[in-house]
Amino acid sequence: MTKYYPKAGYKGDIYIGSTRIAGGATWSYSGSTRAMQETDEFNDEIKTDIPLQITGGEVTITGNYLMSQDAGQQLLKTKFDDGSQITDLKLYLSVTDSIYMTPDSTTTPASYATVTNYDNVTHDKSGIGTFTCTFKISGKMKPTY
Amino acid sequence: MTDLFTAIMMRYNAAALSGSLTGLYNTQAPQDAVSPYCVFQLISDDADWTFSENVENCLLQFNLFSDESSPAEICTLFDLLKDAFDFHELTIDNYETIYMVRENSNLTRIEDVWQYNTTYRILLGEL
Repeated sequence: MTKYYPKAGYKGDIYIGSTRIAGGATWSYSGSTRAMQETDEFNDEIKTDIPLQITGGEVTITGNYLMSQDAGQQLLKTKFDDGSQITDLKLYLSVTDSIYMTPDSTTTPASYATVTNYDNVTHDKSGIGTFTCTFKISGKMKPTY
Repeated sequence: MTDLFTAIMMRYNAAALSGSLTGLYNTQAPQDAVSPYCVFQLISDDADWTFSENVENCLLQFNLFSDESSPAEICTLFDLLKDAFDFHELTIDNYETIYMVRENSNLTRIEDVWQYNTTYRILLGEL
Protein backbone atom coordinates (compact mmCIF):
# COMPACT_ATOMS: atom_id res chain seq x y z
CA MET A 1 0.00 0.00 0.00
CA THR A 2 1.38 3.37 -0.97
CA LYS A 3 1.79 5.73 1.96
CA TYR A 4 1.59 9.50 1.72
CA TYR A 5 3.01 12.17 3.98
CA PRO A 6 2.19 15.87 4.41
CA LYS A 7 4.42 18.53 2.93
CA ALA A 8 6.77 20.56 5.11
CA GLY A 9 5.53 24.10 5.64
CA TYR A 10 8.61 25.76 4.19
CA LYS A 11 7.82 24.28 0.78
CA GLY A 12 4.74 26.52 0.47
CA ASP A 13 4.36 29.87 -1.26
CA ILE A 14 1.77 32.39 -2.48
CA TYR A 15 1.34 33.57 -6.08
CA ILE A 16 -1.13 35.61 -8.08
CA GLY A 17 -0.58 34.37 -11.60
CA SER A 18 3.18 34.38 -12.10
CA THR A 19 3.76 37.10 -9.50
CA ARG A 20 5.08 35.85 -6.18
CA ILE A 21 3.91 37.53 -2.98
CA ALA A 22 7.30 37.91 -1.32
CA GLY A 23 7.57 37.81 2.44
CA GLY A 24 4.66 35.38 2.78
CA ALA A 25 4.88 33.31 5.93
CA THR A 26 1.45 31.71 6.36
CA TRP A 27 -1.69 31.20 4.38
CA SER A 28 -4.96 29.79 5.56
CA TYR A 29 -8.26 28.96 3.91
CA SER A 30 -11.39 28.73 6.03
CA GLY A 31 -12.92 26.20 3.65
CA SER A 32 -16.38 26.09 2.10
CA THR A 33 -19.40 26.11 4.36
CA ARG A 34 -22.76 24.60 3.52
CA ALA A 35 -25.63 26.55 5.05
CA MET A 36 -28.25 24.33 6.66
CA GLN A 37 -31.86 25.05 7.49
CA GLU A 38 -33.68 23.40 10.36
CA THR A 39 -36.92 21.80 9.23
CA ASP A 40 -38.16 20.27 12.45
CA GLU A 41 -41.25 21.47 14.18
CA PHE A 42 -43.27 21.04 17.36
CA ASN A 43 -43.45 17.47 18.62
CA ASP A 44 -40.37 16.41 16.62
CA GLU A 45 -37.96 14.60 18.91
CA ILE A 46 -35.04 14.77 16.49
CA LYS A 47 -33.85 17.91 14.73
CA THR A 48 -33.59 17.71 10.97
CA ASP A 49 -31.91 20.02 8.47
CA ILE A 50 -31.89 20.48 4.71
CA PRO A 51 -28.82 21.70 2.82
CA LEU A 52 -28.88 25.20 1.36
CA GLN A 53 -26.17 27.17 -0.47
CA ILE A 54 -22.40 26.83 -0.21
CA THR A 55 -20.37 29.81 0.98
CA GLY A 56 -16.86 30.08 -0.39
CA GLY A 57 -15.09 31.18 2.76
CA GLU A 58 -12.03 33.36 3.24
CA VAL A 59 -8.33 33.14 2.53
CA THR A 60 -5.94 34.95 4.85
CA ILE A 61 -2.27 35.42 4.12
CA THR A 62 0.31 36.90 6.47
CA GLY A 63 3.97 37.70 6.16
CA ASN A 64 6.75 40.23 6.41
CA TYR A 65 5.77 43.68 5.18
CA LEU A 66 7.63 44.64 1.99
CA MET A 67 5.11 46.92 0.30
CA SER A 68 7.69 49.47 -0.91
CA GLN A 69 9.97 46.80 -2.38
CA ASP A 70 7.88 43.90 -3.61
CA ALA A 71 5.81 43.80 -6.79
CA GLY A 72 3.68 41.02 -5.34
CA GLN A 73 2.58 42.98 -2.28
CA GLN A 74 1.99 46.03 -4.48
CA LEU A 75 -0.19 43.84 -6.69
CA LEU A 76 -2.42 43.16 -3.67
CA LYS A 77 -3.11 46.90 -3.47
CA THR A 78 -3.87 47.05 -7.19
CA LYS A 79 -6.26 44.12 -6.92
CA PHE A 80 -7.94 45.68 -3.88
CA ASP A 81 -8.36 49.07 -5.55
CA ASP A 82 -9.93 47.70 -8.72
CA GLY A 83 -11.97 44.95 -7.02
CA SER A 84 -10.58 42.35 -9.40
CA GLN A 85 -12.04 38.89 -9.69
CA ILE A 86 -8.81 36.95 -9.16
CA THR A 87 -8.95 33.50 -10.72
CA ASP A 88 -5.23 32.69 -10.56
CA LEU A 89 -4.52 32.97 -6.82
CA LYS A 90 -2.27 30.03 -5.92
CA LEU A 91 -1.70 28.89 -2.35
CA TYR A 92 1.12 26.39 -2.58
CA LEU A 93 1.62 23.45 -0.24
CA SER A 94 4.71 22.60 -2.27
CA VAL A 95 6.14 24.63 -5.11
CA THR A 96 8.55 21.88 -6.15
CA ASP A 97 5.74 19.33 -6.36
CA SER A 98 3.33 21.89 -7.89
CA ILE A 99 0.60 21.26 -5.31
CA TYR A 100 -1.61 24.27 -4.60
CA MET A 101 -5.11 25.53 -3.94
CA THR A 102 -6.72 27.86 -6.45
CA PRO A 103 -10.25 29.16 -7.21
CA ASP A 104 -12.24 26.32 -8.75
CA SER A 105 -12.81 27.08 -12.43
CA THR A 106 -15.28 24.19 -12.82
CA THR A 107 -18.05 25.76 -10.74
CA THR A 108 -20.84 27.67 -12.45
CA PRO A 109 -20.07 30.51 -12.49
CA ALA A 110 -16.29 30.02 -12.18
CA SER A 111 -14.90 30.74 -8.72
CA TYR A 112 -12.74 33.75 -7.94
CA ALA A 113 -11.08 35.58 -5.06
CA THR A 114 -11.46 39.25 -4.21
CA VAL A 115 -9.14 41.23 -1.94
CA THR A 116 -11.32 42.55 0.86
CA ASN A 117 -8.63 43.71 3.25
CA TYR A 118 -5.03 44.61 2.49
CA ASP A 119 -2.24 46.66 4.07
CA ASN A 120 -3.32 45.38 7.45
CA VAL A 121 0.06 46.11 9.00
CA THR A 122 1.60 45.66 12.41
CA HIS A 123 4.96 47.13 13.27
CA ASP A 124 6.45 46.65 16.70
CA LYS A 125 9.70 48.13 18.00
CA SER A 126 10.85 44.76 19.28
CA GLY A 127 9.88 42.81 16.16
CA ILE A 128 9.51 43.32 12.42
CA GLY A 129 6.73 44.76 10.29
CA THR A 130 4.12 42.21 9.32
CA PHE A 131 1.03 42.32 7.13
CA THR A 132 -2.24 40.47 6.76
CA CYS A 133 -4.33 40.33 3.61
CA THR A 134 -7.77 38.79 3.28
CA PHE A 135 -9.56 37.42 0.23
CA LYS A 136 -13.25 36.59 -0.04
CA ILE A 137 -13.78 33.45 -2.07
CA SER A 138 -16.79 33.45 -4.38
CA GLY A 139 -17.40 29.83 -5.26
CA LYS A 140 -14.75 27.61 -3.71
CA MET A 141 -11.07 26.77 -3.73
CA LYS A 142 -9.90 23.44 -5.02
CA PRO A 143 -6.64 21.53 -4.62
CA THR A 144 -4.56 21.11 -7.77
CA TYR A 145 -1.80 18.53 -8.02
CA MET B 1 19.33 3.85 10.16
CA THR B 2 21.75 2.29 7.69
CA ASP B 3 19.55 3.71 4.95
CA LEU B 4 19.86 7.21 6.45
CA PHE B 5 23.63 6.96 6.78
CA THR B 6 23.91 5.75 3.19
CA ALA B 7 21.78 8.69 2.00
CA ILE B 8 23.97 11.14 3.94
CA MET B 9 27.12 9.72 2.37
CA MET B 10 25.55 9.74 -1.11
CA ARG B 11 24.59 13.38 -0.76
CA TYR B 12 28.03 14.24 0.58
CA ASN B 13 29.75 12.54 -2.35
CA ALA B 14 27.55 14.41 -4.83
CA ALA B 15 28.02 17.84 -3.22
CA ALA B 16 30.84 20.35 -3.54
CA LEU B 17 31.55 19.79 0.15
CA SER B 18 33.27 16.47 -0.63
CA GLY B 19 35.83 18.28 -2.80
CA SER B 20 36.91 20.46 0.13
CA LEU B 21 37.20 17.81 2.86
CA THR B 22 39.50 14.84 3.23
CA GLY B 23 36.63 12.73 4.48
CA LEU B 24 33.25 12.37 6.15
CA TYR B 25 33.13 9.85 8.99
CA ASN B 26 30.27 8.27 10.90
CA THR B 27 30.47 9.04 14.63
CA GLN B 28 34.25 8.69 14.98
CA ALA B 29 37.13 9.79 12.78
CA PRO B 30 40.27 7.68 12.61
CA GLN B 31 43.25 8.88 14.64
CA ASP B 32 45.16 9.75 11.48
CA ALA B 33 42.35 11.77 9.84
CA VAL B 34 43.76 14.73 7.93
CA SER B 35 42.31 18.21 8.37
CA PRO B 36 39.88 19.42 7.22
CA TYR B 37 37.38 16.65 7.80
CA CYS B 38 33.86 16.11 9.11
CA VAL B 39 32.16 13.67 11.47
CA PHE B 40 28.42 13.15 11.61
CA GLN B 41 26.54 11.51 14.45
CA LEU B 42 22.97 10.46 15.06
CA ILE B 43 22.08 12.31 18.26
CA SER B 44 18.57 10.93 18.59
CA ASP B 45 15.83 9.14 16.68
CA ASP B 46 12.31 9.49 18.04
CA ALA B 47 9.75 7.18 16.51
CA ASP B 48 6.18 8.37 15.98
CA TRP B 49 3.16 6.70 14.47
CA THR B 50 -0.17 7.59 12.94
CA PHE B 51 -2.86 4.99 12.33
CA SER B 52 -1.16 3.81 9.20
CA GLU B 53 2.20 5.58 8.83
CA ASN B 54 5.49 5.39 10.71
CA VAL B 55 7.67 8.45 11.17
CA GLU B 56 11.26 8.81 12.33
CA ASN B 57 12.22 12.18 13.83
CA CYS B 58 16.02 12.36 13.81
CA LEU B 59 18.60 14.79 15.12
CA LEU B 60 21.84 14.52 13.18
CA GLN B 61 24.94 16.53 14.05
CA PHE B 62 27.81 17.39 11.73
CA ASN B 63 31.14 18.37 13.27
CA LEU B 64 33.57 20.11 10.93
CA PHE B 65 37.25 20.25 11.95
CA SER B 66 40.00 22.52 10.64
CA ASP B 67 43.51 23.06 12.02
CA GLU B 68 44.06 26.32 10.12
CA SER B 69 44.91 29.30 12.32
CA SER B 70 42.31 31.42 10.56
CA PRO B 71 38.57 30.64 10.79
CA ALA B 72 38.19 31.35 7.06
CA GLU B 73 38.49 27.72 5.98
CA ILE B 74 35.99 26.34 8.45
CA CYS B 75 33.50 29.11 7.68
CA THR B 76 33.78 28.24 3.98
CA LEU B 77 33.20 24.59 4.84
CA PHE B 78 30.15 25.54 6.87
CA ASP B 79 28.72 27.33 3.82
CA LEU B 80 29.33 24.20 1.73
CA LEU B 81 27.64 22.08 4.40
CA LYS B 82 24.59 24.34 4.21
CA ASP B 83 24.60 24.13 0.40
CA ALA B 84 24.67 20.34 0.65
CA PHE B 85 22.04 19.70 3.29
CA ASP B 86 19.76 22.69 3.99
CA PHE B 87 16.22 21.67 2.95
CA HIS B 88 17.67 18.76 0.99
CA GLU B 89 15.36 15.88 0.16
CA LEU B 90 17.50 12.87 0.98
CA THR B 91 17.01 9.89 -1.27
CA ILE B 92 16.49 7.06 1.21
CA ASP B 93 15.45 3.51 0.49
CA ASN B 94 12.02 2.79 2.04
CA TYR B 95 11.57 6.36 3.34
CA GLU B 96 10.31 9.74 2.17
CA THR B 97 12.11 12.84 3.42
CA ILE B 98 9.40 15.10 4.80
CA TYR B 99 11.93 17.76 5.77
CA MET B 100 15.59 18.33 6.60
CA VAL B 101 16.17 21.64 8.35
CA ARG B 102 19.19 23.11 10.08
CA GLU B 103 18.43 23.89 13.72
CA ASN B 104 21.53 25.35 15.35
CA SER B 105 25.25 25.79 14.87
CA ASN B 106 28.17 26.88 16.97
CA LEU B 107 31.79 27.64 16.23
CA THR B 108 34.49 26.90 18.75
CA ARG B 109 38.26 26.35 18.91
CA ILE B 110 39.74 23.64 21.13
CA GLU B 111 43.48 22.88 21.31
CA ASP B 112 44.20 24.90 18.14
CA VAL B 113 41.51 23.13 16.13
CA TRP B 114 38.44 24.92 14.83
CA GLN B 115 35.13 23.06 15.21
CA TYR B 116 31.83 23.97 13.58
CA ASN B 117 29.04 21.90 15.11
CA THR B 118 25.74 21.92 13.23
CA THR B 119 22.54 20.06 14.03
CA TYR B 120 19.89 19.08 11.52
CA ARG B 121 16.35 17.91 12.25
CA ILE B 122 15.25 15.25 9.77
CA LEU B 123 11.69 13.93 9.57
CA LEU B 124 11.35 10.69 7.63
CA GLY B 125 8.18 8.86 6.66
CA GLU B 126 8.39 5.11 6.13
CA LEU B 127 7.02 4.01 2.78
